[in-house]
Order: sequence, then C-alpha cells, then structure tokens
Amino acid sequence: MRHLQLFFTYVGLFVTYAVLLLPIGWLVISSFRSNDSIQTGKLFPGISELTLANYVEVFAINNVFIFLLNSVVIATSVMVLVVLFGSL
Amino acid sequence: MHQASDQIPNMTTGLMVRSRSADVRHAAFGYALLAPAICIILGLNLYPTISGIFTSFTDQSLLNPNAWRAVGWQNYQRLLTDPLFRISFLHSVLLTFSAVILQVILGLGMAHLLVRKVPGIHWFRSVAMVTWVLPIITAVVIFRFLTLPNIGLINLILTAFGFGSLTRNWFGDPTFAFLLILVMHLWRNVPFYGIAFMAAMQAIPSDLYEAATIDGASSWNRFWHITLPNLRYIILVMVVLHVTFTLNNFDFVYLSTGGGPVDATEVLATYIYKQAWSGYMLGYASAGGVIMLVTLVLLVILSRRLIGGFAEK
Repeated sequence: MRHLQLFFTYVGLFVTYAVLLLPIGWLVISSFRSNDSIQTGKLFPGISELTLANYVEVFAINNVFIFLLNSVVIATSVMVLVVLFGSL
Repeated sequence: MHQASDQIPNMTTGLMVRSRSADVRHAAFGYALLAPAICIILGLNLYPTISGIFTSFTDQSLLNPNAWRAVGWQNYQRLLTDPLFRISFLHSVLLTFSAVILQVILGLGMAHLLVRKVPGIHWFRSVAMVTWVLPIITAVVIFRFLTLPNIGLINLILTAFGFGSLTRNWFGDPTFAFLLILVMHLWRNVPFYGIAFMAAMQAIPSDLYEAATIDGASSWNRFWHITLPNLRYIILVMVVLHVTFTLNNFDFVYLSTGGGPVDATEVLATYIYKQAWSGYMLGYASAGGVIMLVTLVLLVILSRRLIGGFAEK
C-alpha cells in the first residue's frame, strides 16, 4: 500500500513535470542545433549535429550585452523605486 | 441622574477637547506623511482612470486629438452593436472562467503531489516555478516553436506515433488557437497555484487528518471536509488575482495569434488595443476599456461571493 502510493506519487510528479519542462527542454536542445538540423524534423538529433554556433552568433552579431544591461538597469531601478514608493 | 450627567460632560468635554486637538495634530502629521504616497496614487491611478472614463464619452481620435466633442453614450451603443466586440467579450469571459477553474483544479492536484514527503521532493518543489518566472515572450516563442506546422515538436511526435493525419498548423486553426491560448495560461500559472496551495496545505494541522482517519473518513471526505475548507482563503486570493490577470491578459494573445485566425482568439484587451492604435478611435477604445473594467469588477465580486459562500459551509 505504501509502496503503491509512493509509486503513484512519482508517476504523477514525472507526468506533471514532463508537461512543464518538455517545452523548455525542446527550446534548449534546439538552441544547440543548426537551422538545417532543425529543418530535418528529427526528434532526436545525433550528437554530431549539436553545435554552439547559435550562441557564438548571438554574442558576436547582436548587441546582446547591451540588451542584458538594459534589462538589468530597468529591473534594478523598478525594484528600488517600487520598494521606495511602496514604503512611503 | 440628570444632575450627575450634567456635571460629568463638563469634565469629559474638557478632557475630550484637549485630547481631540491632540488627536487632530497627531492625525494631521500622519496625513502629512501620507501625502506624497496619496498624491502619487491619485496621480498615477485615479487620474488616468477618470480621464479614461471621461474620454469614453467623447469622439476623440488619434488623428486630431485636440478636436473632440462629447457624444454621450454613442460609443457604448456602437460597441454593443459591434459583433466583433461581442465575440471578444465572450472570448474574454470564456477564457477567464475556463482558465481559472482548470487552474484551481489542476493546482489542487499538483499541490497534492508536491505536499507528499517522498525522497527527492525538494527537487520538484524548487523547479516548480520555472514556467512562472519565464518571461511571457519566451513562453510564447516556445509554444509557437512547438506548434510549427512542419518542424514543431507536437506535429513531430504525432507523426512519429502514426497520427500523421492529425498534424496541422495549430495556431492557424480557429478551434485549436483558442485552446492553445488556454493551454499557455495553464502551463504558466498552474505551478504557481500548486506551490501556493501546497504551502497552505502544510499549515493544516495533521491531527485533523488523524482524527478523521480514526473516525473512518475516506480520503475523498478528508479532502472535501478538511483540506478544501482550510484552503478557502488561499483559493479566494488566487482566484481573484488570476481573474484579474486572465481578463486583462494581452501579451499571450497578442504575441501568439494577434487575435486571429479570423478573430478566433480576439479578446477584449487586443480588441481595445486595435481600436485605439490601429483604428485611431480613442473615445471608442476607452468605452471598451470602461466595459472591461466593469466586467472585471463584476467577476471579482462574483468570485468572492461564490468562494465566500462556499467557505461559509
């Protein structure tokens, strides 16, 4: 009885988290695949297909650091101002 | 009796006047401290709301914002006869009801799993909020990527298991586009419900359950008569919050479908946005906003009544 309960708890947890995390996992895996590899429509890409080229491209071509800095500046100032005005 | 009561007021009024003036000074100081916050709240919340309500009775247009005239209830009459507005209104209410009800049910289920003290549960608890902290645009990009017609994960899995005939462009299909908006809401919000309900369930004294078990209560009875009544406040808070979030939700719909295909996912927020910034009709859009505000207030009151009434049991 106890073991059965444990079993069903884990089944429920794994099903729930599969639904929650699979989309994010698919995004992460796809971030390591080239456009051509994604276009083949394979569910499980071979190890040789994985590449860091996308990350290189993001940091080399776009001003990602500026975007990150913008986000950090906005987040920090919003947090400080909300705490300030919230505590008035 | 009368004499006594004549004398005492003299004394008491003397005392009262003094203490009242002190009170006034005290209160004035308090109001002075509150003044900046009140000014900010009035300026940032109340003024835009009132000016929005005011605009809803004018024919102000973005093309020439300074030339406006009062048109009375005309905007509201036009809104109520606009079939697209009715559809968006229906979609908004339908989405809010189905999303919030499903979120409460699924959240209770998830809380029941998370509250178990099984080995490794801390891992599950700590990653639970990951969909909640994800930016909405990221969530939308993920779902659009999953539902692409040729290379989306959903279609790939369907094909792999031999259901190739079911594959479609999910966001391009009027029925499924709306369901996907609902699924995105669930995917993002259910873990939040799960964590909140789990925290509230941990606060329920375990002797209640022990006593019920000794009395021979089934697990369903324990849930219905112990867990649910003890969760009523957190349920109320979550429902009121998410009725607001869902009815006001603009980003999920606008970023994923933009209200399409053929208005199948048009909700009030996107409809109003389009009237204001694509149709240039500020007065008309404001009238829509006022109707949205009234709807929201009514829905919040309704959910308070429903859950409050349930809590009285």
